[in-house]
Amino acid sequence: MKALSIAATGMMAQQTNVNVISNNIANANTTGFKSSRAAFQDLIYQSMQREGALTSEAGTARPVGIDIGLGVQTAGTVRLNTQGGMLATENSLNVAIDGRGYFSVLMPDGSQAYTRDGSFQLSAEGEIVTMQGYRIVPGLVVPENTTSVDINEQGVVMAYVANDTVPVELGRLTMSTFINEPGMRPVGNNFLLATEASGDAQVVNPGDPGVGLIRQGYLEASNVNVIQQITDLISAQRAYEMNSKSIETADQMLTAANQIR
Amino acid sequence: MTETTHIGMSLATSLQRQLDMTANNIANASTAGYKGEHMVFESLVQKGTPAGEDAANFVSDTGSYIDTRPGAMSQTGNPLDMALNGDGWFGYRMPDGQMSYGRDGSFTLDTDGNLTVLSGARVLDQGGAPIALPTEGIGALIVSEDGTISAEGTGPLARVGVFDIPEIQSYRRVGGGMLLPPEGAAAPTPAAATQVLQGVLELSNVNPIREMTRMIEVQRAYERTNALIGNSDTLRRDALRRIGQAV
Repeated sequence: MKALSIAATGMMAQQTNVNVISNNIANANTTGFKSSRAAFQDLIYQSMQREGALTSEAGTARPVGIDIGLGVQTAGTVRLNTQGGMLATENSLNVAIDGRGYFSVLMPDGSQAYTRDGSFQLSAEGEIVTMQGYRIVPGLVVPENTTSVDINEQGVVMAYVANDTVPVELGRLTMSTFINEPGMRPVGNNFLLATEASGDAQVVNPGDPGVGLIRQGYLEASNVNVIQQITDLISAQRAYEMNSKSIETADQMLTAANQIR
Repeated sequence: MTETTHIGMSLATSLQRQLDMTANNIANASTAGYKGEHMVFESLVQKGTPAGEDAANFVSDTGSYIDTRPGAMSQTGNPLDMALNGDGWFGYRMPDGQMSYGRDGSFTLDTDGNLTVLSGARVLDQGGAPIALPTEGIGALIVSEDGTISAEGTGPLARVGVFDIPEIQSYRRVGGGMLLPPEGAAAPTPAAATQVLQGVLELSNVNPIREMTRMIEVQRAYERTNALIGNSDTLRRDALRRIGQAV
């Protein structure tokens, strides 16, 4: 009786489902977080009788076979890259991306990570850094005595120094895009890494065709739909219970078989 | 006399397979585009002898069929999730080059811009060729109801193939939501009446209540047939004992 192991794959799949849903709910208030969904696929099938097998010498063939599936597997977790809501913070170093694109960040080990979280700060040297103190790419340094920083929609960063009325252009906040965004690997701290699946980063300017715009003074909220997550959680729990019923039934049938004599 | 045991056994074997099938349906209750599988039972009649003995009816599970009813639609908001509203099927090219068909519309793009399912099989267009989208300079993708993919500011880029497969029951299931055509099957024709919905996934069409009640039925039938086998065994033992005493 394969039902025992089939139902076990179902229970494992629902566990993964609940893990993914819990993580979404836990990150409902994380800046720039994108919710994920566990995607499932049916496992291989065992053909007890093949469709199309000949049933007579005259060439008649069996129209249907008996295919018994061996359960379910997690095909992957798919990140939903829709826009999160805009949260006004009035902090001039808070920027949100309205559209596609990621900020690039220089990690301490020299590699690059990518993030949608634009809650930037200044380091002691005046560099624009992330909450972790990692510099953004390209590096932008805000001069001393700056009274205000202005970032326009195209990502051009300007600083008003001391009493000057004409701003100094510090550089441009470029972004990176990827062909397959769900293929990026999340590593925590709101960072994602480029992988073989996502393809290499394409450095673009905000406002290019198909690329998002920069909104200064805003942060991107997570795109988690809490109501949907809760309903998904309920159906995951019920599906888990149903699978456990399959196990129970298979167990009782085996007990019955043992009691024939 | 041993016929009774064998009739019971024929049912017990089929019921075990049916439970496996039901367990698999339940395990796939969260699989996008999954279609339930159900068993067909048939009685296999052994002709009675000319002396007037009754015919014996063995049970045989002659086949299983795919429940093609649509599953519920779930809004995901992901622009590459597509669901079919109608009887059509998506076409895929598996990594080994074989064509397969299914209803799983949870698509993604690979680094070369190929539209694929999560297992890596490529999605076919209306003409049966795999779809590849430009990798640079395209914005948000828009899929119209006839399956035409376009991007903001560009013309049509590709058209997702939706195929009509009336003989789907003869297709072989291979997992990953894929159905393989039987050997010598004609290439499916494009379906006209099926809509493609963007940002929506078709959920599994497994009906939990039906599966749970079927499981109860299977279990009870299994217990009955086991009781039958047990009774016929007792009967035979009893007969042998009495015959032995008479001598």
